Amino acid sequence: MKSRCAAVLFALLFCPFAARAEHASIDLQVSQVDPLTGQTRNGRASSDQEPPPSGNDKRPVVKVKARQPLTVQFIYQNTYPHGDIRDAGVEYFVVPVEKTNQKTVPDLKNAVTRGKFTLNFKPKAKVGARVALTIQKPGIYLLRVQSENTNSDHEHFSAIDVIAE
Amino acid sequence: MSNRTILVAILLSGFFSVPARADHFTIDLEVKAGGASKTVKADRAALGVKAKEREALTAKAGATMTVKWTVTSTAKTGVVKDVLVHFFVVRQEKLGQASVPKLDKDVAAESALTMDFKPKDKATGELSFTIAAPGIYLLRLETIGAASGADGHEHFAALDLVIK
Repeated sequence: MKSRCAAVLFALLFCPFAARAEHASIDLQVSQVDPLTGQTRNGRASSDQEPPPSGNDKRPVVKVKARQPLTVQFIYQNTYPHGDIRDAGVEYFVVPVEKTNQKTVPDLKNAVTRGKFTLNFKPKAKVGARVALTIQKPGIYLLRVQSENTNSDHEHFSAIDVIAE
Repeated sequence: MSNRTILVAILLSGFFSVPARADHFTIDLEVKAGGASKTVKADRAALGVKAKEREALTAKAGATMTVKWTVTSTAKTGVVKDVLVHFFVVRQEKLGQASVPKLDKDVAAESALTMDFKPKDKATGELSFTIAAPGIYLLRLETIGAASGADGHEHFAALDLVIK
């Protein structure tokens, strides 16, 4: 527990993740460490929203090596200040796409990895995950985390295009 | 400090000032790898409470593992505020290891969420991941901040993974 307490104090002092005047704040990251050189490849994205389809921001693009482990991490914070949102969902996935900045989200049956959480959001509630995975097949992939069922006229998401070489 | 430590730290932030609370939860945890699967129920974590012996699931390195869990409040009244539901898979030294390893290395997956639990409220999670390196791993889902009073306890469900 001591190490966790230390981690909490560190995060409170230095964490760049802060609530903003939006309904959600998202920090999405992908990283891969080359086992031979130790070089790190990484990408990072913040919150966007739909509509419009695929949001307003151009997605970051990060190149990684296929068949080597990489790590996906996100932290989603509900910043809607006016009460609870019951049975909200936060879903993430890595799925192959045809091109970078593709506007449509493909069928998730081909996802390399995916996960979903359902919970009651209260103001400032958080959901986060960090998952190791390996993309076996070279190609272009969409990494995305998104809200669902938030009783709003829009949903929030964050996304990165991942090119596995 | 690793990003994963920061992840837990961020989600934990603010929880140490939370007052005493009710402590009734159930946990259902299902793990699948290849054709094998295991279902685990909740155990209790508190001073002087000996944990049940953990089951083990064997899987191949690099195989996709899928975990589904549900944490449900069985309290009849009240609200259990600011409960952190924490899940992780981390390498350990041996099967049935009593101590929980630090999450500063060899973590295959980790997730956390925060929620107030009213009676019958539930939170669910489902995620898939791969473990690249063979070894013995601890898979554990736990509550943090659900204990109440001096005799309070946290809830957890755990499984050993043998990755070959």
